[in-house]
Amino acid sequence: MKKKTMVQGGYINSQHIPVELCIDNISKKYQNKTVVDHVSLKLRTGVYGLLGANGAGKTTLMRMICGILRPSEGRITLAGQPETCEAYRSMLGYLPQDFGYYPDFTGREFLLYMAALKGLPKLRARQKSEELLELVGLTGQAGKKIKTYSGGMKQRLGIAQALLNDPCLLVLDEPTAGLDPKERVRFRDLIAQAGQSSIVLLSTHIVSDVEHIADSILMMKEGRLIYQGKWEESRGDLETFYLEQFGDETERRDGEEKPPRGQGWQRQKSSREALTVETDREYSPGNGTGGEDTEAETGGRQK
Amino acid sequence: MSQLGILYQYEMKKILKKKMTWISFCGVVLVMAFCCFGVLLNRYVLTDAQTGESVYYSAYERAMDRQARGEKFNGRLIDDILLREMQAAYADVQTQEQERVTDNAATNVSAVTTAEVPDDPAEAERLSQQRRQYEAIYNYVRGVVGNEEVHTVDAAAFYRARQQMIRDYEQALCLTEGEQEYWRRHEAQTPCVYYWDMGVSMMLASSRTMLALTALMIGMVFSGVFADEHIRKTDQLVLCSRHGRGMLYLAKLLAAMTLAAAAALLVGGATLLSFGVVYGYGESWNAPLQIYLESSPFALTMGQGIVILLVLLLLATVLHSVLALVLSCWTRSGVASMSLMMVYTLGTLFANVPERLRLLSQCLYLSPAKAVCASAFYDARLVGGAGHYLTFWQTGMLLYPLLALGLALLGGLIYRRWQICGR
Repeated sequence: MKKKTMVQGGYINSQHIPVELCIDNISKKYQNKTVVDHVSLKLRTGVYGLLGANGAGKTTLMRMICGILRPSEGRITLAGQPETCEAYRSMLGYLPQDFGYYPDFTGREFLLYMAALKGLPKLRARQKSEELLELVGLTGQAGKKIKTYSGGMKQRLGIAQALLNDPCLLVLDEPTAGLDPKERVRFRDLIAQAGQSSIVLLSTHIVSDVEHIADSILMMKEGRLIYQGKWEESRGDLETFYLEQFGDETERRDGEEKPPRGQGWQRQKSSREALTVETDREYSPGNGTGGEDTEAETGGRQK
Repeated sequence: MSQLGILYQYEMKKILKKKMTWISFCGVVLVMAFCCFGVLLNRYVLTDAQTGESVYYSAYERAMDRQARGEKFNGRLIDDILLREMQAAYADVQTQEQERVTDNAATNVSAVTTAEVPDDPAEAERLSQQRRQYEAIYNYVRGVVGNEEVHTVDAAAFYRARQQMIRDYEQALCLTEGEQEYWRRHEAQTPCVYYWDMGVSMMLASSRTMLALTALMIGMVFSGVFADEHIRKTDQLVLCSRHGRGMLYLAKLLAAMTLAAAAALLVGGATLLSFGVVYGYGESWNAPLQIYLESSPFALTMGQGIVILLVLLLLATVLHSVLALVLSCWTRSGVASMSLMMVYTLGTLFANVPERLRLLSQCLYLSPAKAVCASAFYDARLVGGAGHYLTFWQTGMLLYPLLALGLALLGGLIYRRWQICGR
């Protein structure tokens, strides 16, 4: 896929010049509370799964990466461009956790509007919008107002708008939340495709999503990165590790008693695995996005 | 089409798709229509003193009757000849002084005019008809010289009395010598020519209502421009897009300004057309402003006065649209910014500062709510110095675009600093 991104009046061809996201010691403080605490990262092409309990600082970190929340300290650059500049934003695609839309716009109008915001020329915007509507399976509903869409359709529209400008950096904040199993698998495939040529930062609570598509894992706890890198099988099961790290917090939030270690977690893990298996089975090769085992799909991305 | 043009179209679409836009616009049009035509719904009754018979007639018939009589004097100089004719017609009218107790219990003496009623009904009717022919001139002259003098005044005394009213205003407004000198050089010519002015004076009088209604409409429609992005959580999408922090702000601003200007033109144009249809303008367009505002120092025609107020209305509405946008951007709450717009509009409409506090008072009277008003043509205070002065409307035409520009820049700074947090 030929991909060009405008940077400072010129174009960077992302196939030849690898784009790097540098997060240099960023923090975000609100009065006495530190939400993100001195996080440093260097991300290159691939899918990065960002895990963490509620309130761990994932969304805050993602907002800072998207330039919509100013860090209290530190700096962020993409291909050498700071997050405050237009060139940075022209390389960015973002799907927020709580995806907002204009209820009276049709799906097509919404994409054309977002394309104009992203600086796509009119003709290109039309072409790209139609491509993406087809990709996310909304061609039939493109002329309907968004307020008539189901949650899953809105989420698919959200991912389509994030991909409009062929971003070098795609930030997805819990993109599979609220999707049915079939749509989740479809989403994973879209994300995997995007990760072949872009930096994809994916935040989720659902460990199986990350296990299936992420090349690297980033784990946050209380504003700090507690794990960063590829998950090696020798370290054991990712979900078990995740639950060991955040089990107490999740439990406190849910107001439940902590189950005996191993027993309760095992139950949760089992149900998630069951879901994953089911979705993989439901996934049909006929939809044009491939249909083999998920590990096999992601295999192409393994570096 | 450029990206700005495309974004501008979408922003227009967003505003025009809101129910509030159409509800508030229709509300303004309805109120203005009521202002124009509501008065015509009244009925009058005329009872014959001899027979006791009552004749009902509509306000429209009454207005047309008065207009037909008033228009007979169109183009006539208010000079000794006309004044003598009028005084002859009113020769049977005497002035009596009568004591009247006002609401605040202070005792005032006011003059009331009463006509001698002859015994012969035919003679009484003839005299009544004769008086009614000169009613328009009588009322106008009486407004300047008072109830007593109207029966004896000559042209020189009439213009002296009017000049004295202007001087009294100048004293009350604390004009400087330089300002007084300015008005000596620019004052209206005498003798002035009379025109029946119902249509144009109604139009001038309704300018304040138009301003207040459009300001409230602007507050209701544009308070949500930025606030809705925050409430719908679309701000996080637009702010991280390439043109989301710069060009989008400009597109929103241009869309709001265009729609505000269109609303002002539509409301102003519809009101102008309505009064024109009901009363007609005819030659009254060329009547001196002093026919409606007797002691105004401005050497303008009524038509010029209307054009000035409509241009000021247009500029003020655009200024209000920018203000509403900035408030929306600052508060990120439609209700809060709408409330602030209401406080601003009603506050400047009803606030008053004594003229002796010259600077404060003049600043208030340069605000759109005071300046887009027929009575602003009484305001002889000027802006400037060293022989170079601007009147209130000249200042307004420079000040409002500058204020709009300043507010737009301030809004731009606020928007660029917009952060997504606390959700």
